[in-house]
Amino acid sequence: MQDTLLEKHSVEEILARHMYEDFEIIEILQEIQRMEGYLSEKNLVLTSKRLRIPLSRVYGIATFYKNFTLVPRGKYTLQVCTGAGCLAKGGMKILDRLRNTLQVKVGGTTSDRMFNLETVRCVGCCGRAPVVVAAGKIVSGVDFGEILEAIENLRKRGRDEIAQPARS
Amino acid sequence: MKLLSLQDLESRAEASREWIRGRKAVISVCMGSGCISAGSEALLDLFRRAIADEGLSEQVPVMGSGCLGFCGKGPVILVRPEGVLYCGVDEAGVSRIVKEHIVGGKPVAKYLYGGGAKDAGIALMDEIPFYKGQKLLVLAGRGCMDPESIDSYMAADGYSALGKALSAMSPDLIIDAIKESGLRGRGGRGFHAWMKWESCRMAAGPEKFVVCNCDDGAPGAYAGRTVLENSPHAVIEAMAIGARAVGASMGFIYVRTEYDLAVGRVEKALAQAREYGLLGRGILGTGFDFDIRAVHGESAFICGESTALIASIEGRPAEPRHDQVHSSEKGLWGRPTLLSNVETWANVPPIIRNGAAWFRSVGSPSCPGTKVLTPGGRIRNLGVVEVPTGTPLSEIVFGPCGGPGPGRRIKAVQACGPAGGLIPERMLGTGLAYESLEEAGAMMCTGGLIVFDDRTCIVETVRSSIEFMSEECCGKCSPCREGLPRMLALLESICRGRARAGDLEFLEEIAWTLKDASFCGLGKSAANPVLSSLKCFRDEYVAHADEKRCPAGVCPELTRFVIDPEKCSGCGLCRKACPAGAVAGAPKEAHSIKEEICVKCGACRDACRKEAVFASGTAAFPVQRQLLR
Repeated sequence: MQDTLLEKHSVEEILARHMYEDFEIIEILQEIQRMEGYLSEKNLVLTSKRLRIPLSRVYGIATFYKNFTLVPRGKYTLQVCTGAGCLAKGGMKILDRLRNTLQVKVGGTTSDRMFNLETVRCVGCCGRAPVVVAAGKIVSGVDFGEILEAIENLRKRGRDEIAQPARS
Repeated sequence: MKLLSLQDLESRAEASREWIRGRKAVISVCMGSGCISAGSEALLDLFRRAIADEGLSEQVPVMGSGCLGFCGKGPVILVRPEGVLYCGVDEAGVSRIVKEHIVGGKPVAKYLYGGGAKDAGIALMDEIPFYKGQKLLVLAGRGCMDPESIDSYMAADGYSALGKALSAMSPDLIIDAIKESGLRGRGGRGFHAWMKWESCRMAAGPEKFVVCNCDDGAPGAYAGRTVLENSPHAVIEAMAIGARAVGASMGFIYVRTEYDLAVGRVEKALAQAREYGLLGRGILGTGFDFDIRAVHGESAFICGESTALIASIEGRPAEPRHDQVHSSEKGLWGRPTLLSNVETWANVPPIIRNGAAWFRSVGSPSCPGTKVLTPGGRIRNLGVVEVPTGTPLSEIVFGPCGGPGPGRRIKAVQACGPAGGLIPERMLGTGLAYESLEEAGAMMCTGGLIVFDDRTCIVETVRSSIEFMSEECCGKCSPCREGLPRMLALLESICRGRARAGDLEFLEEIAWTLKDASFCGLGKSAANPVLSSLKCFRDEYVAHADEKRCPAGVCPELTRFVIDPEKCSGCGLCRKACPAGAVAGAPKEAHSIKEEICVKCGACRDACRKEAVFASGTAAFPVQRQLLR
């Protein structure tokens, strides 16, 4: 999902594609966030103008749904599942060790702006608990070594992409 | 290619069936979320290549199938026509299965259920204990249907119910069929489906809508998502039938945007249905117009509440409205709206196709049919199961789920995720039906079924449920907004052994207030885990609060781990398992735990095969007290 960061769309294009329909605002904000990584004040104002709805309503939606963020986040998101099924299989231990390894709090972003560490409540794979979602991809039945490997691969990919931006 | 009439539909379906019939074998690779995460997408390619290398591409098609349910043993693969199921297939397994089974005709024991170098294992899917006792209505065709192919759905009689509803049934007849079938909404309240249909049909309005809710939301409950991923076309067909019955021309499928796989499959299925003329203008050559739009929803547990879901589709914060006027009369944009969840919708095509009497023959008389469940937690077999309603919980837990792990005992079952009550072991005879579960303080709901064994702390489990609910509370009404954080704080202090006198009573009082005074179902049901556990597991609360011990040996502040030197064989399993390096001891000599560095995770206790590791606070512990000196 995070890969769409590289797609070249403008916010105006997103708005136009949704025909400036105000009921599609949630999908519009999702797409803006997918593109830019967060919802900037500029884009919230633009959305409000184009959809002809009060900025307060746009802000209300951007702050009600918890997946929206108003501040820039890291490139990839690591979500440790803390649903009951994963807790029963040791999800909390994985979270603790990730916190230590990455030196970051839950909800925080690593200093190199590469990873956000979050918890997620059940991704529907309790059958393969404990589960970690690394950049949208589910790593399941994990031991800690596997997660570290996935993280290092992502970090490498992230650095390569920054060094050589994909051509549009 | 547009299907212009019923004959077109039938000949197309027959062509698909004919094609499958002519094949030597079919390999279905499970493409459920669980198996994909275990690498089944790569296996699909490998199988295609291996089959092509043998020059069998024509005779032996390889297809992706919907979730086969046995997620804990993934990736799983089904070979038809025999119906042989392989578990945990890896790269090496692909060529062996193709060479030895497809070409040689002999199943590969290594990858069979329970199979190995010496054991033959169980080859046939239907004979594996996990699949026994299951009855498939909604998940019918699992393993034989490619969720991304409309032809594959039509080969399994897909869209024939829509054909029947459009050609041979009036809207009243359709509603009568639903009424006779006794179908009840597979949501929390178990509303009779036909009542909604009837009131939506009777409601006046310039336009009407049908809505499918695929926002399971609750941790551990993903029945709706699995059904949508397995047969998106069944939901589309059902919604078209519903639209025909109530007179709607537009439908919405609300899918959480995180459900990547479900979103993708719904979009694909919608495009295919439009291409075949099963959605759009003049469906199947009749004058019936209907189309569906997939709404990419934001995750919010509150969207399980229909009025909140409607607000979210309208592009507003998902806050519930008063439901004095039901959404079937005044829903989306104030128009009559027929809203059901995925599983309820998916029951409609089989009912129309096979008749109400057929449907009534399955499950309990008060709510016929089946229920899709997603058991999880401390059981041997995890995954997706579908069982007739009325089945006792014990039969599910000890049947398909395989019971607790070796040496463990079931302590409780939490039906319907965090909002469900805890059902203690002695009440596992409770049947899977709305009334009986409600009596037990739980709900049927989205099909979560988390099983806890004797090493799970009930107070901690309830704390985690309440933590979830307070995060998901929309903040509209005060009992829920203020009550949940207070309950959470109380539960936290109980878990840490800092409870004060009267805390349990206070907790109970808040819970009752939530149940009585909350605005919507989220707040009312949030009290369930607290109330049911205070009723059935009060002794655990008392142990935490008064005796400052955790009877399950889970809560870190109240637990110490000790190794019994007489039982310890010095095998070293606990030493290897300990993440903190707190276990010391020479091989073959009794080990011990250094309390200063122990993180109280319990890994040593789980690893020990001799039951030599004890947690303070557990019933077995007082006997070992002298060990503490």
